[in-house]
Amino acid sequence: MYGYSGKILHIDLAERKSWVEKKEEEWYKTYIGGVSMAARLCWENIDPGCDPLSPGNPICIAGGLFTGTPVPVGGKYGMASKSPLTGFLGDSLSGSWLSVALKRAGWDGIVIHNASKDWVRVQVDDDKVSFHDASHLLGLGTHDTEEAIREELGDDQVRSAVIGPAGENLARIANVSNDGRKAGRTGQGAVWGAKKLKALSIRGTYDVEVADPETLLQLSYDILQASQGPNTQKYRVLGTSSNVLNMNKLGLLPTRNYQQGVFEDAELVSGEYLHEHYKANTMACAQCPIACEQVGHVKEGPYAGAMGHIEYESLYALSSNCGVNDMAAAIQAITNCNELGTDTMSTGVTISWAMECYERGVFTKEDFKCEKYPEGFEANFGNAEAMVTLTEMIAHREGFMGDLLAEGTKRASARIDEERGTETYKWAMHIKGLENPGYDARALKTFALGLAVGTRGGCHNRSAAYDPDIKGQVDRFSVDDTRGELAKSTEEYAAVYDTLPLCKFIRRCFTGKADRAGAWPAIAKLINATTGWDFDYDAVDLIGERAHTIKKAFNVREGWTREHDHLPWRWQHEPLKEGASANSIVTDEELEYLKDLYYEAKGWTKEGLIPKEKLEELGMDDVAEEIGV
Amino acid sequence: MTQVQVELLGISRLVTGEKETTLQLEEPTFRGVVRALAQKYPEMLGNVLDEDGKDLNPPHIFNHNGVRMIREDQMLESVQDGDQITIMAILAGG
Repeated sequence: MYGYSGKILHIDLAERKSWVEKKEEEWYKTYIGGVSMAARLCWENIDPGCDPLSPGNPICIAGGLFTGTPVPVGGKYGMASKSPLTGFLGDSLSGSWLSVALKRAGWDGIVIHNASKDWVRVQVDDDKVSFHDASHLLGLGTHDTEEAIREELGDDQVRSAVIGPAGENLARIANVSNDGRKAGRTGQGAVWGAKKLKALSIRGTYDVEVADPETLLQLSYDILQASQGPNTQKYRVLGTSSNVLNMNKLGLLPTRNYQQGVFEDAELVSGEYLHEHYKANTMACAQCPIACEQVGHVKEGPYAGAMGHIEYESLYALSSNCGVNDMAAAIQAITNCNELGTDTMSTGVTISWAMECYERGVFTKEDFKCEKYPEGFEANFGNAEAMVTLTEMIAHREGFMGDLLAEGTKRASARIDEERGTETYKWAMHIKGLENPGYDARALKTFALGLAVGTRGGCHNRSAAYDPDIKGQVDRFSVDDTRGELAKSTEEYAAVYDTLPLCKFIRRCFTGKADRAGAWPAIAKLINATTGWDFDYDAVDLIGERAHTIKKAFNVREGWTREHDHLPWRWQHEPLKEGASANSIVTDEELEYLKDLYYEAKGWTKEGLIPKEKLEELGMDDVAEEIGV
Repeated sequence: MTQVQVELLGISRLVTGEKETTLQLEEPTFRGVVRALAQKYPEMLGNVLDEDGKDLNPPHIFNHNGVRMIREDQMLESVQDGDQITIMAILAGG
C-alpha cells in the first residue's frame, strides 16, 4: 500500500503498554485520514455513553494522506475524542510538524486509551513507545513545555503535542498545542488532562513511499506556483483578521456578546490596523507555502512583550465581542490563551457571557476576586484588563469566576441559572455546548442552518454554509427550499479538505476556481499519484459525505436527537438593531423548516436519523447495524 | 457623470494607501467601477483587479450600499449617483 503504512498504534496509559493494529486498504479508501479517520477510530474504540473525562474516552489521532510528501498544505493531522463541551464527537485539525513526524514514524494513526495514574509524557521513536515522568513539566506553558522536552532529549527536531495549565486543570475549553499551532476546539486538552497526559513526542525516520513520485512532484510544483499568486495574496499579506472590517460592514461582527453586529471601534481591532502597528512576522504551518499566520507583537505599554498568532476568530472573540478596542490587550489575551492552552474562541465568548452577566447585575465585583485583585474587579464590556485577567483565571481555575468559566458557556450558564434563579441562558452563545464563531448567523440564514445541524456545535470550519450567503448566491436574509441542499453540499465540501487533510486556503490554487469542478479533479490526481488508486470526481466527493456521516453516526450513538440541532436563544428572539443586518432573526418556524430540508437532502429521516440503506450505500455496514434505522 | 463612493478594505487599502475614494463613472455599472479603479489606481492591477483592469480578482467582491454582494454575473448592473460601494475579500477559517 502506498501513502499509508497500514498500521495504527494503540497505547494504554494505565497498563503502560502498546500494540499494533493493521488495517485493510478498503478501510483507508473509506476513511482516508484527518477528521474522518480520527472519527472512525473514536467510533471503534470508545466506550459508548462514557463520561468524556473518563478513561473510556480515547484520544484518536489520524495523520494526513499527503503528510510527508511534497503536496503543499498537506501537513496536518486530525484529533478526535468525545468532547467534554458537547458530549458529542469533538474533532480538531492542526497544521503541524507533529503530523510529519507521525507519518515518518510509520503510523497512520494513534489511539491513546485509559488514564495514567501519574503525569506522563509518551515518547514514540519509530516503532518504539516509552513512558516518562512528566511531573517536572506541570505548570509550564505550551511553548515552554515543547522547549523543555527538546532540551531534555537534546534534540531540537523532536515534535511534541502538549497541553498547558488549562488542560492540566481540566478546563473544558482547553486545547492541545504543537509548534504553536492548536488542535483548538471542543476541549481536547481537558481529555488529555483527565488522562494525566502532558505530552506526546514523536520522532520518525522512515521514508514515505508514494505510487508515482514524478507525477506527484509535478502536481505539487504547479500548486506551489499558484499558491504564490493573487489567489492567496490576502492570506499571505493580511491573514484572516482582515475579516473584522468585512464583517463589521455587513453588520455581522459579534459585538458585546452578540448583542450587536457593528462595533464602533472596529478599525482599531482590524487586520489592517494589526498590519500597520503590530505585525512582527508571518509564519507557516508544516508543508505550507502560503504562510498566513500574522504574528502580532506589542512593544510598549502594559502589555509589552505579548506576541501571538492573530487570526480573525481569535480576534473577534477577544476584542469586539468583549467590547474591547485595544489591540495590544487583544494580543495579550490571545497570547495567554496560546501559552496557557485554552481555545481563544471559547475563551472569548465565555468571557463575554460573564461580562454581560456583570452588566445585568447577575455578577458583582466580588465574584471576580483573584490573587491579582483580592477585592475583585469591574468586568464591564470594554474593560481590557478584565478580559486579559480572566484568560489567566480560566486556565488556572482561579477563584469562583475562573473555576466557573473554565466549564465553558453552556455549563457556566446552567449552573448560575440554577443557583441564582437567573435566565443567563438567553445570552449563552453556544451550539451543542461549543461557543459560536465570528459570524452573526441571524442574517446568514443558510449558515444558521449549517451551524445548527453541525456535528461539532458552533463551528465555522466544518460548515462552509456562510459562503452562499455572504457571496450573494442566495438572499442571506430569508429562507427558501434551496438551503437544505446548500448546507449539505457546503459541509461535505469542507469535510473533503478536513479529511485529506488539506488546508482550505489552497482551494483556489488548483484551477483558479474554488468549487468542486475546479478542485476535485486535481485532488483526485493527487490521491492517485500518492496511493496508486483510481479516484475520480465522484470518489473525491464521496470522501466528504462519508466523513460527515461517521461523525453524525457517533453522535446518534451518544444520544443525539433532533432537538440538539438548535441555535442560541438570542439569535432566535432578539433581532439585531443596527447596521446592514438590522432586524434579522431566525424564527422557530424558519429553523424547523430548514432542518426538514436539510435532513431530506441528506437522505435521513424526518427525525434526522440515518437509514440503514444509506449507511450501507456508503460502505458503512457495521455502522448501519448499530445505529441505522 | 455618475459619482460613487468606494470604501477600500484589505489589500485594496494596503496597495493604494487610502481608506476611501470618490469615482466619476463614464459607465455607470459595477464593471464601470472596476475600470475607473484601474485607471485611478494602476497598483491594483494583478492583485485586487485582473491584469487587464476589467474584473475583480477573486476572492475580491463588491458590496453595494452595505447590504448586497455583487456576483460575477451582476457586474453589468447599474449603479446610481451617490451609491456606496465597498471592495472586500471574505476569507474562511482562522
